[in-house]
Order: sequence, then structure tokens, then C-alpha cells
Amino acid sequence: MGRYLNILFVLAVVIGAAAVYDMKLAAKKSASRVAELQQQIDEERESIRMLKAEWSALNQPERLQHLVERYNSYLQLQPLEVDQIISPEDLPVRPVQLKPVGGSDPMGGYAGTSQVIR
Amino acid sequence: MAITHDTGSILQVRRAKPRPVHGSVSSSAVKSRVYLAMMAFAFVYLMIGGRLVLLAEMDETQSPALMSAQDSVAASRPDLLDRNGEILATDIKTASLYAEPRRVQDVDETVEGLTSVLPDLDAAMVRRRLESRAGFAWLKRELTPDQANQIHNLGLPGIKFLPENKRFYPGGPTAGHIVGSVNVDNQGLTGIEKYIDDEWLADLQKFGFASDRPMEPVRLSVDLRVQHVVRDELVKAMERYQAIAAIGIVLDAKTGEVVAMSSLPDYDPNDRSEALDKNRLNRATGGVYEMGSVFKTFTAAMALDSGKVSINDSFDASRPIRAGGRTINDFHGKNRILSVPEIFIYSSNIGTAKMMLATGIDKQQEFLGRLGFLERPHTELPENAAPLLPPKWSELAAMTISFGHGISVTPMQTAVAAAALVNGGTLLPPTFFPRSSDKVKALGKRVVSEETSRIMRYLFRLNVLSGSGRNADVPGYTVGGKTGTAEKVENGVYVSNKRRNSFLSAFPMDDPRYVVLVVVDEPKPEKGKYGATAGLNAAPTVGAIIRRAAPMLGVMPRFSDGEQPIEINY
Repeated sequence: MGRYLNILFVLAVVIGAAAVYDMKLAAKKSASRVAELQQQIDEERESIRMLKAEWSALNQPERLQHLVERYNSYLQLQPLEVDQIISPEDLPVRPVQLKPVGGSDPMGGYAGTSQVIR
Repeated sequence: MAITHDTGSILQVRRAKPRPVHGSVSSSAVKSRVYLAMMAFAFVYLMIGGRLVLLAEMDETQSPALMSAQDSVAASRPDLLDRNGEILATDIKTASLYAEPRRVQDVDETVEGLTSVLPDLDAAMVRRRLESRAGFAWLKRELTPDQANQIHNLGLPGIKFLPENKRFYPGGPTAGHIVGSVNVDNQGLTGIEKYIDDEWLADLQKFGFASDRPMEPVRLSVDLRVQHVVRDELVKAMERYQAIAAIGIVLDAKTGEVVAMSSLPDYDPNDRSEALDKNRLNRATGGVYEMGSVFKTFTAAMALDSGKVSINDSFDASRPIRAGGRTINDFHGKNRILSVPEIFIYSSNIGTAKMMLATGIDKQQEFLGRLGFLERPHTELPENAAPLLPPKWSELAAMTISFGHGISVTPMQTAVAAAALVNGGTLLPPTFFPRSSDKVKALGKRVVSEETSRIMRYLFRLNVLSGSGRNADVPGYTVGGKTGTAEKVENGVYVSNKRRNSFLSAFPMDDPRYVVLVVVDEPKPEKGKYGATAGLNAAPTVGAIIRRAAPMLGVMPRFSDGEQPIEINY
């Protein structure tokens, strides 16, 4: 009885050790993966910073103005005039541009000439 | 004698002494003692072994110089953004080159390799540093990625890189005086950079919290687009009028936020050597000037606010005033009795001085103090100049001060005081950071009555409609303002051909949102034109700034009925 119990315990210890070793290995792997990802994140963040800096350097009003001045023979841009600024409410209603189809009197002069009686 | 015989030598005595009798030692006790000794030795050897393993595993301790260098270079700074989130200043990573001279094997080869990539490197200096056998020595800070790569490929032992944060200002000089600059260790030297350091960043870095983590960006009240417009127009004005300097300020009249501030000549904060040039100082807050006729605005406001002068009063400006051995005359005098609005739009020195005398000299001093002209102004920028006041507030001094001579103040102070006069009478200290409406309410200090503010708005507008400020008008934006043509003092005498011209304005005048101040230093007459008064150079510059900046600031143009032609193509 005691011997079997011993064998069982020994087996349990061996299995336990193997499991722990495996876990440890997995944890180590995960840790290195985490570190790798962390480094990737840092690199991404750094490149985002770089790109943002570049974006804002390229979008500087001074630079854009310079480019517009240089290529204006092609772009044909003009400074905004004050009277070009208007709010949507101030715009006049767009005129209806629906011309009667088929001549000025498409209904044969019948419909619409007299009042409709209901 | 007998005693010595008995005892013999000391050894003999000892030997002769009976040994202390112990109980017989059992074999188990002997064993346990041996085990104890063995364990003690085993323990000691284990300790030594363990320590050896630790030492073998441990990285070599870095030299203290390297560690302190790492601490200082890694210091990152928060990004600075404008009010719309555009980047004004940011950190980018660069590599800096250093050597660990102890590890350098062949000094000659190393020096040769380095100078092949970096031809501007001082070979003698490098050699001296490499031969010093020190633990750490800087060779070159802030390499380009390309240079770093080439040196890396050389594979020189003992030559290493340290990643460093380098401050980058994408706008270059556009907002240089506001954002300021940093030194090679990323510590703020001027502008908002210095302010941030003084406020909290330096403490954070001291305790090691700012080493390399990304920080919340800091948002300023500046609008990069408007800032560019102001600077661009000033550059053009300096060119057109061949001026030696120019200052432009756009201030939010309702909150005190500085939307744009430019002072030419300025510097590119990316180039550190320029920042120290004295000619490139920030004149807007760091320089004091006699503002000239612009000051008549404040005299008029004082006289009207005191109640002793009303808008319908008239003053005799037909004869010069003599006081203290000096004669006060008008630049282009009308030589007649002038009403208060006429004094303002014809910019009469005599009339203004009489208006001041009618109100009282003490009252003037008190009023200018209320507007903040008598003390050093406070802004977030480190460069704030104290005003130059007359040694004695005599009658003559008071009279000259009433039209802007004999007192030197910063342009920023002038703009801030003007904002108070037009916004309904509330003085707000200027700020470079966004300000909430609660804070505006808490900080606001009433300096003149609503009614005085209303009259000042009318006078400003009147001066643009029918006075010296005509050239500043932009249809639709109801610009109002006051010109100032101040003769400069050279060797203690006013020189008539050297002027400092300014135009102090606000728009739209019925409910002013922004105050615009432009100062042009020593403008020459434009080609084909005679004269170089403020109405001919500072005023059109203000007009151009408002024309371009107002749409960006969201100020809608308004025309009275029938005035606005609408061009529409459907």
C-alpha cells in the first residue's frame, strides 16, 4: 500500500514539476512577447510623433502660402474678399428652373385654365 | 625565595595546576559539532558562490557621468499646441554620440572613423577626450539619423549612442517669441517653454517623473493661422516701409487671451544661437516705448470717465500751451476751438493736454495706474519690461503723458488697456493660455463705466470713418482705431524724421471681439508718397491683418442694408 502511495506521489511530483516548468516557459515566452509588443508600441508612438511633426511642418501656413505664390499661375487662387463671406440664411432662395416640357402649353390649353370644383 | 622554589616557572605552575575536569564527551555530541562546523563552512561557500553568480550576471555598473547624462538627455517635454490643436513645439528622437574611452581600443582608428563621417568634428578634441580614460565623454549631440547609421556601421568599440529628445518647432520663427526655445538639454530658456519649466516641469524632472513618458500636451491661446497672418503682414510692412522693427498683437477683447503676437526681427527657435541676439528680443512684452498719440485714447477715456469732461465739451486748441519752458504744439493744427471728438480724430496735442488739465493731474496718475501702466505687467512670458515713468509727475510731465510722451510702456500693456476701454470697461490681464468664461468673470476688474466704453467705441470708429485711421477700414468689419506717430528720442532730443508709428484698433466696433495693435519702427515714406505717418503705414497694416484674420477668427462681416452686393451663380 505504502509503496503504491509513494509511487503515486513521485509521479505527482514529476508531473507537477513538468507542469510548472511548462508554465514557466509559457510565462517567459509571454513576457518576452509583451516586451516585444511594448517596444513595438513605443516605436509606433515615436513614428506617430515624427509623422505628426512632419505633418505640421508641411502644413505650416507660411509654407503653404509660399507654395501657392510660387504655383499660382497654375492654381489661379485669389485671396478671399470680405463680400464673399455670407451665412447660409442670407442666401436668396434658389430660383425654380423647371421649364415646361413640350412647349408653353403642354396641356392643350384645357387643364389649369378653369378653377377646379370639388 | 622559598615561594619561587615551590611554584617554579609559570608554565610549570600551569602544568602543575589540575586540569578542570569535564564530564566525558559523548560521540553524538562530537558528531553534531562537526556537522555544525561543516554547515557553517558550507554556508559561507554558498554565499561566496551565490555572490559570484550575481556578479557574473550583473551588468557592468555604468559610470556616474553616463548615468547623469542619461538622466538629463532623456528629459521629455510636453507638446505645445495652438488653440486649434496645431503643433507649435514637439519632441523628436535623435541620437547623440558618446564614447566610453576606457573601452576604446585604438584611438587613432576611432578618430579617423568618426571624422570620416562627421567632418566638422574637432579631431584634436576627440583625441583628447578618448585618451582621457574616463568612463564617459560626449562627442556630438543630436546626430541626423543618417550620420548615426553610418557611425553604427563603422562598428567602433567604445563608441555608443544615446537616444535623445530634441525639441522641434515646425513653425520655425512664426510663433518664436511666444513658444520660446530650449537649450541642448531640453530645458526652457525663453517664452512659454521657460514658463512651463518654472511652473511644474522642472520639479517633475527633478524627481524623475518626466524621464521618457509621453505627457499631456499644453494648449495655448494662440491661433497659428492668425499668428502667421500677423507676422506675414509685418514682414511685408517692414519691407514696404523699410522699417527697422515691427510689432503686432491680436488680443481677444472679451477674455484677454493673446491670439497672436509677433515682434520682428524675430528668431527661429530651432536655431539656438539666434535666440540670444539682442536685436531679436521680444519687443511686444520685453520692450518699452513712448506710444505717442495712441495714448490720447486713454486721456480721452480718463476725462470722460471722470465726468468732468463730456463728449459735447470743446477746448480751445488755437494757441500752443507753454509750460515748464516748453511749448506744446499740434502736428497739423486746426488752430481753432475743437470739440472732444475733433480733438480725438485730429489728434490734437493741445486739446488733449487741456482735457487732461480739466480732469486733474492726480486723477490722470490714478487712472493710468488703474489701467496697469505704472507697474511691471504680468504675463506668462518671462520677458516683461517695467514701464519708464517720469521721475516727478509734474504739470509738464502730465501734459506730455496725456499725448503719449514722457512715459514708456510695453505694446502689450497698451493693447490690454485698450481692450478694457472697448469691451465695456473690464480690465483683463493678458494670458497665453485659454481662459474659461468663469475665470474671465473672476479676473475682470472694472476700470471705466459702460457709458465711457460706449463713447470710446464711437470715437475709435469715428477716427476710422473720418480721421487719421481711414486706411485701416475693412468694409463689413467696422474697424475702429487710433493712430500714433511718435518722434523718437535720440541723444535726449526728439528727432522729427525718425518715428515710431502705431495703430491701436479693435473690431467689430459695435461689439469688439479683438484688439489689434501694430507698431512700425522707423518707417520711411513709401515710394512715390510723401510722409510716413501712422495713418500711412501702421493703419493699412492693421487693415490687411483684419481683412485676412477676421474670417479665421469667425467674425462674420456685417453690412448695413443694401450695402452688400451678393454675387451668386446658380
